[in-house]
Amino acid sequence: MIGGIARHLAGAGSVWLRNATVWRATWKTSLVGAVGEPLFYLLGLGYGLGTIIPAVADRPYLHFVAPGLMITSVMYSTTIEATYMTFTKTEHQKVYASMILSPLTFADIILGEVLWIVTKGLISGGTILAVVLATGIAPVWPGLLGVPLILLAGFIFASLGMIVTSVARSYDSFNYYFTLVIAPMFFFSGIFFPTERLGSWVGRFTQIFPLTHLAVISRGILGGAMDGAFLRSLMVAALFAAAGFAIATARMQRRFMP
Amino acid sequence: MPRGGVSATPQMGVFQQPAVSLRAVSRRFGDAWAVRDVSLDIERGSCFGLLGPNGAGKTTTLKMIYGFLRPTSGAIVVDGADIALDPAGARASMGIVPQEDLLDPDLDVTRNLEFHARYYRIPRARAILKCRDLLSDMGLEGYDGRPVSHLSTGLRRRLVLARALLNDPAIVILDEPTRGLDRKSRGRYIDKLLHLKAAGATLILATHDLEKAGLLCDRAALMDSGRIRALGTLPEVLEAGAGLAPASSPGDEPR
Repeated sequence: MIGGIARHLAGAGSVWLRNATVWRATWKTSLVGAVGEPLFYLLGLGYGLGTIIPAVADRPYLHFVAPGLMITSVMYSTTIEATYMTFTKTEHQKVYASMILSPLTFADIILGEVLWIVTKGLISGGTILAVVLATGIAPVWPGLLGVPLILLAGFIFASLGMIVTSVARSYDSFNYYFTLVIAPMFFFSGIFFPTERLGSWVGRFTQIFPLTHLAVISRGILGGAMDGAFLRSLMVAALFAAAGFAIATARMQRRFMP
Repeated sequence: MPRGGVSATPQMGVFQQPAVSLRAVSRRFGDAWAVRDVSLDIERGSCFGLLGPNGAGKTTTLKMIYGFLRPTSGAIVVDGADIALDPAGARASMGIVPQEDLLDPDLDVTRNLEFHARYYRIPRARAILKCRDLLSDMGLEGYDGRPVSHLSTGLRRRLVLARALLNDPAIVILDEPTRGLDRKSRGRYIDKLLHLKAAGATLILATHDLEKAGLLCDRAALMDSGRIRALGTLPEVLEAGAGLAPASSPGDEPR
């Protein structure tokens, strides 16, 4: 049992290392997008728009929007990696098919990929978190709990993206996911305004989005409101992570080892 | 002459486990059967040929042996491990040369080998030495830092064989291994396979090149439409399947 888990982790680790080695060759270019874009969002929305918007939920708009922006940066970076990049690796580069010519299993490969995608999310989300903590938008403690939150968010969106990739026929398939799922989540998950403003039934509908719960958790950690809603959202997010990863592994295996 | 569904090696000792054993293996894609009721025992240290025209089911059979495809029904045991239950254990004793090269395009020649060694959990120091030896053995010295996309077809096929030999496999699966090679390169490649066979490895070779099969195979199965039509030594198979055997000339390599 323990030996099996150790082999699984070692296999996933070798996949992670392969991706890190490939990334190292283009890390400067990758960092521009991964770090630059979320920072501009924070500057534009927080420091720009924030100057003309009055306090939201009893706090300056910058303090309201920053925790959500941290999570959306994780969502976008991990979703792009789990969809377009993963599709390229599987369909065009046949990287997974190459790996499977060894004792690696599909479960090793998928776990390694998800951990790598989570790492990319950590780079994006971690940049925002560093700025938030460095500028005093949130205190360092418990603000540092933002790191495990970023990992959790990355795990969720990597798994969801992989599920979409497992049924994608071409790159165009991802348009549906980005337009019909990711974009509504971005706008209606309580990142820019409280979901209560949406009215009762729309507000309740937004509870099906993982981003809604992750925003609640993020605001709880960075804004110091770890209450009942925080704990409820934490449990929902954990469920999304567990179910998402299990489904992603099964679906990807079904697609690539029919 | 044994037919499909019958053991290939009735004379094999009771206590010697076959290298690979297939029992009533079938595989369906939609409504079409790619492989139908194939049973085989492949003796250790032998070279077994899967012969037949394109679409006969050779590649599908090999993919099921190395666990890339799941059989619709039947069981496959490789070196004592059931491929469905323990794919990692089964592949640990295998080296695989697929029909497509399946090299990692993001990694250079050396890194392709080094990462594959890592997937096999070969200790780093040993892997570095092994990679160097194999690159030299395959005539790939000087190409170590090159992207694999810059290699010719022949060099890529040699690199794929080097990758398959990283773990000193007991069983080597070869799916049209000399595809795309010129006569000289093919000769060197076959010499390497003969050397492996002499060293005691079990070779399982899918081809429709009868000259190559004649040089290497102790026993063979002739497949057609997913079924084994003839099974035995190469002359027996060719005689039994005269009407079915692929009439390939030595230079008639599949693309």
